[in-house]
Amino acid sequence: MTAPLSPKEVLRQVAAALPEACRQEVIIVGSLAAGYYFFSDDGEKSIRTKDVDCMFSPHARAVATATRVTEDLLKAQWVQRDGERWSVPGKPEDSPDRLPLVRLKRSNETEWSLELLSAPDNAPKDDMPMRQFHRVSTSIGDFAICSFGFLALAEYDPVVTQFGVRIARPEMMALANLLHHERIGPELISDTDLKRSNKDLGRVLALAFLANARNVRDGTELGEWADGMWSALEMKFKPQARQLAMRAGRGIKELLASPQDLDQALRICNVGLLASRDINAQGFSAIGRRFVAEVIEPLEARAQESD
Amino acid sequence: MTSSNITMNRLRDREIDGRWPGRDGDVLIEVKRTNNIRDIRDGLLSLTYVLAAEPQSTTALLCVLMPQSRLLGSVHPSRPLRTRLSRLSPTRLKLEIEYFRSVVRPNLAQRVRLIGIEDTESGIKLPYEAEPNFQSWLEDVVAREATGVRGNRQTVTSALALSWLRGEGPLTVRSLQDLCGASYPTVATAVENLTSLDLLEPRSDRRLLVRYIPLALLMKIAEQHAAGRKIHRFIDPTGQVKSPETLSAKLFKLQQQGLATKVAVGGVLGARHYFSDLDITASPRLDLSVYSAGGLDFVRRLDAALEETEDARAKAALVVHVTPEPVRFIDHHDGTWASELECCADLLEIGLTREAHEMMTVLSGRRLSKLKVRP
Repeated sequence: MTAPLSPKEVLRQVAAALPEACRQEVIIVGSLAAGYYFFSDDGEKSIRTKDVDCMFSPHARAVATATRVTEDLLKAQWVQRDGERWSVPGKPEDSPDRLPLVRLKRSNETEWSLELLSAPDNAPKDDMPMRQFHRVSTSIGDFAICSFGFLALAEYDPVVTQFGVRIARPEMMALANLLHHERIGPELISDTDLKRSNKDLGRVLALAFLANARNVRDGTELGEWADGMWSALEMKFKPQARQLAMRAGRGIKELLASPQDLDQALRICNVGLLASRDINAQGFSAIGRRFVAEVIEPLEARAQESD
Repeated sequence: MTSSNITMNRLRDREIDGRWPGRDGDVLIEVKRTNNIRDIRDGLLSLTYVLAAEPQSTTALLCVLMPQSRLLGSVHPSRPLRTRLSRLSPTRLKLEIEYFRSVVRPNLAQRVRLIGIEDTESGIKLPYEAEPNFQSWLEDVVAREATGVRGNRQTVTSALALSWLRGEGPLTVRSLQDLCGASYPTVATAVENLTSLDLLEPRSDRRLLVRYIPLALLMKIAEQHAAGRKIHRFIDPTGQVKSPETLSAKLFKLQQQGLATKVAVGGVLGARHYFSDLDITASPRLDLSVYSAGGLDFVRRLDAALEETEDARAKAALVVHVTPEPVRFIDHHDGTWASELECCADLLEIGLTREAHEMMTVLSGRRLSKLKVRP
């Protein structure tokens, strides 16, 4: 198991490693963003992650910025995180999806590594793959950075941190995961028997739980998610906003209806964002019901009103 | 009116569900909860029999309660709720009353009306605007018939106690019957009990006025009132229990949308509404009183995380009391509040006996000071 890390300290180190001029073009997504958002005021709370997902935004400058950051980090003795095969830079003739991704760590760093991502350039279409690869050409060879269709939502009103980099809002990460997993898919997380969709949809519930915990007596934060989600969909995916909002809840409802998948999602959360929270299956299921009633149904209602 | 006439009236009134003393004549009410046209014909005929012996000014109304609930989910995962739809359409009801009028003597048939009432999640909706008092009375009658719950002696005693606490005027036996959905003998027994304690003052017009109810008796009535309710307890398995204030605010918001209108806030919050000096800093849970047959679907709308439990020792976030108390005793000032007696009963159930006693002392003291009566 990965050692607990202070999200504030990791974010400070990430920001310090990035060239100052690039920091404002960075949006941190994933568990570090969630950990910082929810735990940065609490020195006792930690996260267990080894991947720091660092997205460059806007898309138009993402490749250029990623190239500069990669060059700078390599010069500072950072090394590719993955094994030998995926650490060897590619050639100009290699297609982007065959190139190693930029996953860097300090040569002496064992706790966390940085994965560079690009903001997507437009909304996913049915005939377009969810994941796209973009070439990053450096002085030592070619790499790639990835963009995921719905991560455009992370660009909606990100939170500016004290370290200059921004973090994605929890509700936007939740919405991206919801849209990414309209169903419980068969895809497994590499080297495990855990379903990717269970991990990502479980994280949605973990984020909802943590949002509620911030203001447990009145729960206002969770109640505001649907409005924010709808605004983000309208801003980022205007022509498809209604359709996306109407389908956002499908995966989570399927998860709630499948005790085995829900149990797996809880197990993943209990070694991640919900570590030491002592949530059992009954509680996790109740969190899901609350999330559907307070976020998904109002979001669907907003979409229906938009007709 | 002779005593035999009075007896006949009482006998006839037992055959119907209610009688409203309207300005232009009495209105007889019969309620049928059915999807079957034969039940409707039976109801029309029963009303016509009674109507035949009434003055020409008396009219009759058959209310057909049609279940129309479309339920989105369950408050308990193991008990899925079913969608129910009535097979009777408004057109079918219209045809039926037209047929009835074509075969029954016109001077009777024209005095009988038939309405279909939807029984939805948001409560009972009358299909027309009536004068407010009649509307609220009719909603009570319909709700009572829908639940099949008849008022018992305790319901009548509680109603008398509340009417005294609120300084309401004298009541007739018939109005108590209608108010509580109780039979004549039930009301008579409750009245006799209070009369034997010299607490009721009979008026020359056959109405009854509660003179005074001692504090000890009020507390006993509250205890017995508590015992007469059905309790549903809900826990929050997430450990993120929403405050009673948050949940009650949500309820009031739902009520503004026309939902859960016969649900009222009791417990500590309700008690504080009547007695602001209540010596409790934080409410341990939310107590709600349900005054109708609308079911508990509203709980999911309050907080879908809540789960019903049979474990009486579990730490409940929400406790729902299904009360036989007449809906008229809901207080609508700045919210929707269960009656003083409901709140006192809740405090007793929570174990806040001293606070319950203190509240009733103050409320009965206010009443006595208005009457200038020394206990």
